[in-house]
Amino acid sequence: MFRAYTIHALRTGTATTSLAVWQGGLVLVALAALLILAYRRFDPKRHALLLPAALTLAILAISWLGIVHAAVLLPVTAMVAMVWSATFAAIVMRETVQDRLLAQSATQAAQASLTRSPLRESSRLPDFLGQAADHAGIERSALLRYRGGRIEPVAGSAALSDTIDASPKRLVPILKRARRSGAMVDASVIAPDWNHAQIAFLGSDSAEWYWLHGSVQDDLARPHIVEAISASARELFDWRRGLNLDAQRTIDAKVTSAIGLVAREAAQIRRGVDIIDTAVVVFHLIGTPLHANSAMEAIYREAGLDPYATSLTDALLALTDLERDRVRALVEDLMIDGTEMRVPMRSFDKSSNERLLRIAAPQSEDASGDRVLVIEAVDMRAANRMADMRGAVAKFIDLQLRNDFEAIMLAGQLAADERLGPGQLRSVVGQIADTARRATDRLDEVATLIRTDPRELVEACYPIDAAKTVREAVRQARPLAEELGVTIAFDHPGISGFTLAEPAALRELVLAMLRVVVSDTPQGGSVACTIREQIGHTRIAISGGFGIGFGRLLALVSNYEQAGAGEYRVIGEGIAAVTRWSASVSYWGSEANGFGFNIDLKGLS
Amino acid sequence: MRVLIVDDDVILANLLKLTLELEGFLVEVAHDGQAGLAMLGEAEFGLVVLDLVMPNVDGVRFLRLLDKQAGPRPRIMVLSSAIEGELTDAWRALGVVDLLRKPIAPSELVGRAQRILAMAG
Repeated sequence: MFRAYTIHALRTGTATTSLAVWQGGLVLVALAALLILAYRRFDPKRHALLLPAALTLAILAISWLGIVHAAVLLPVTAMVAMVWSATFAAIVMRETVQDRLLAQSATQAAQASLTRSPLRESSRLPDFLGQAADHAGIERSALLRYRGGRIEPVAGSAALSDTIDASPKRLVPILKRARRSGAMVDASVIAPDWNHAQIAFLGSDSAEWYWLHGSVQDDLARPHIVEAISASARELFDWRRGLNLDAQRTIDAKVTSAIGLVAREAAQIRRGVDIIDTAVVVFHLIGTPLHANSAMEAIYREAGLDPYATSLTDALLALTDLERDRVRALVEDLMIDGTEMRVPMRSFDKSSNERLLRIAAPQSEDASGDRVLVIEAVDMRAANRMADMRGAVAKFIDLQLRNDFEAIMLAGQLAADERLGPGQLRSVVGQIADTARRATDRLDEVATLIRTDPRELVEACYPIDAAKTVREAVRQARPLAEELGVTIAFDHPGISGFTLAEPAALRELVLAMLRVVVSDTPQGGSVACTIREQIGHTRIAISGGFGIGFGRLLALVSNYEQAGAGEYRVIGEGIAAVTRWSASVSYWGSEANGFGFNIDLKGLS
Repeated sequence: MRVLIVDDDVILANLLKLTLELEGFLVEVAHDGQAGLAMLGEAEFGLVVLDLVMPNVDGVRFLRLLDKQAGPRPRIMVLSSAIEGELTDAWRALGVVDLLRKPIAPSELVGRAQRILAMAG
C-alpha cells in the first residue's frame, strides 16, 4: 500500500493521507460487523477460502479507490488480517459448539440405550447372570470383582463367598489365565465344592470382572449355553466400556460407540420382531412406524399400504372397518391407559377375515417412559381349528366311548349273572378286557390330538366334522343352483365326527365340485350330495348333471393349471392337496348319464 | 320272540345278544344296516334293536329303506349314543317305538324289549 501511495503521489503530484486513528478504528468496527453478518449467513467452514479471499479482494479494491478518488489511505493490512483471523475464529468457535452438541447427543443416545441394558446399574449384572445361569441349569454362579489384589463377590453373589478360596496364591494365576485366554478356564482350585468350577473374564473398568460358575447339570447338552452367556456378558461389558462417556476419549470415538450400540440395539429389536411368528408392526407412540416383520409386510401389501410410510391411524383405518373417530378414540385410550384392544381385521382375501388385530401399548418397564404401540394380526384359523378339533374330540368321546362304557357296563352286569355258564363267563370277561383295551387306545389317540399345537394344524389335516363342512359347501352352492333351477339333495346321516381333513380346503373342493355338476345339470334336474361313513373312511359323493365324457373330464381335471381360476383349477389343486390328508378323489362321467366326484377321507378309529 | 340287533360294534352287539338271550329271546346280529335289511327280508323279527351310527347304511337310512321293503314291519328300538331328547313324531314316522341313549343297564334293555313285544301282542 505504501508502494501504491508513492506511485500515485509521484504520478499525480497529489498528497495522500492515512486515516486518523479513530477513523481507522471505525472502519475496522464496520468490517467486524460485516464479518459477523457474513458468517451468520454463510458457514465459515464451508466457505473457509472463498469468503475471506473475496473480502480481501474487496478490501484491496476499496483501498485503491480510496487512494485514487479520495486521496485516503485505509488500514488495509489490519483489515485483511481481521478478515482471515475472524474466519479462523468462526471456524474454531463453530467446531467447539458442534462438538459440544454432538457430545450431548451421543450421551443421550448412549444413556437411552443403556437404560435398556442389563448393565445400566452394576447391581443388575449379578441378577442377569444369575437368571441366565439358572435357565442354563447351572446350580452355582457368582460375579466377582477383582480390585487391588482382592477379589470380592458383588451384590447378589455374596452368599457364595464363603465357598470360594480367594487366597492370592491360588487366585491370581487363574485370573491371569482367564484374562489372557478370553475363554472359560478351570477354577476348581478356588471353588472346590462347586462341581468342576470354571471362570471367565468379562471385562474391566476400575476393576476386573469375572464370572465363576459350576458345571451345568447336563454337561453334554448345554455347555454351549454357558459359553453363550459368558460371551454375551463380555459383549455387554465391551459396550459399557465403549460408552463410558466420562472417560478421556475423543468425541468421534464416543459417537462411534453410541451409534454402534444404538444401531446394534435397533437390529436386535428388528430381529426380535422378525422371529415372532405372527404378523407384527411396531409404532412409536407418536404413530410413526418403526418396524414391521415380513408377515405384517405381506398384510400391508394386501391392503396396498407401505409399512414404513403409513401412520398408525392410517394403518388402522385401512386394516379395520373402524371409522376415523373411533380410531382416534382407540389410539387415545391406548396411549393414556396403556391397555390392549382387539379389533376384527378387514377382509382382503378369503383367509384374512379370520384375523383379529391386537393393538397394544405395553407399559415401559423402566422409568424412561419409552413407549411403543404394537399391532399384531392374530390368525384365528389356528384357534378356530383347535376349537373344531376339541369339538370333534368331544363328539368322538361322546359317541365312541359311550359304546365302550356300554359294553363294559353290560359285561360287568352279565358277569355277575349266575345263569351264565363257565364258557359264557370267560367270553364276557374277555370282552371286558378287549373293550377296556380299545377304550384305552382311543383315549391315547385323543390325548395325542389334544396335545397337538394348533399352529401345526394350519396347513395340516385334523379331525373334523365332515358333515358340517359339506353342509356349508352345499349352502354356498345353493344360490347358483337356484339361479339355474337345479335342486341339491343333501343326504348326511350320522357321522362319528372323526374324519381327517382341513375344513377350509375341503369346503372349497366340495363347493367347486358342486358348482361344476350344478352348472352341467339341466333346469329342473337334481344334484345329489351325500356323505357316508364307511369302515375306515368317510365318502363324500357328488353326482348329477347331463354328463361329460370321462376323457374330457380327465383332461379338465388333470390340466387344471391351464384352467385359469375356474372350478376345475380348484378341483385339480384340491385333489393334489387331499393326498396330504391320506385322502383320495375319484371321478367318473359319461355323456347323457351324468358325472360325479367321490372324496374318500380317512377316518380315525 | 325273535330280536335282531343291528350294531357295527361287534363286542357290544354280542353282549346285547347275550343279555337278551339270557331272558329267553331268540337273538340274531347284523353288523351294518345293509346286512340287517337283508336278514329282515329273509326272516320275521318282532323287534329290531338299532344303532344309528354305522358304516355303509346307517340307522336313519336303514329305517327309510325298511319303509320301502315289503313284508311285515318289525318294532324298532333305537339304541344309540348319537341321540338326545324324546321320541318325537319324526321318529315315530320312521317306525321307531322306543329311543334309548347309551349306556343302558341290561335290566332296562330287557324290560323295554319285553314291554314292546308284549304291546305287539
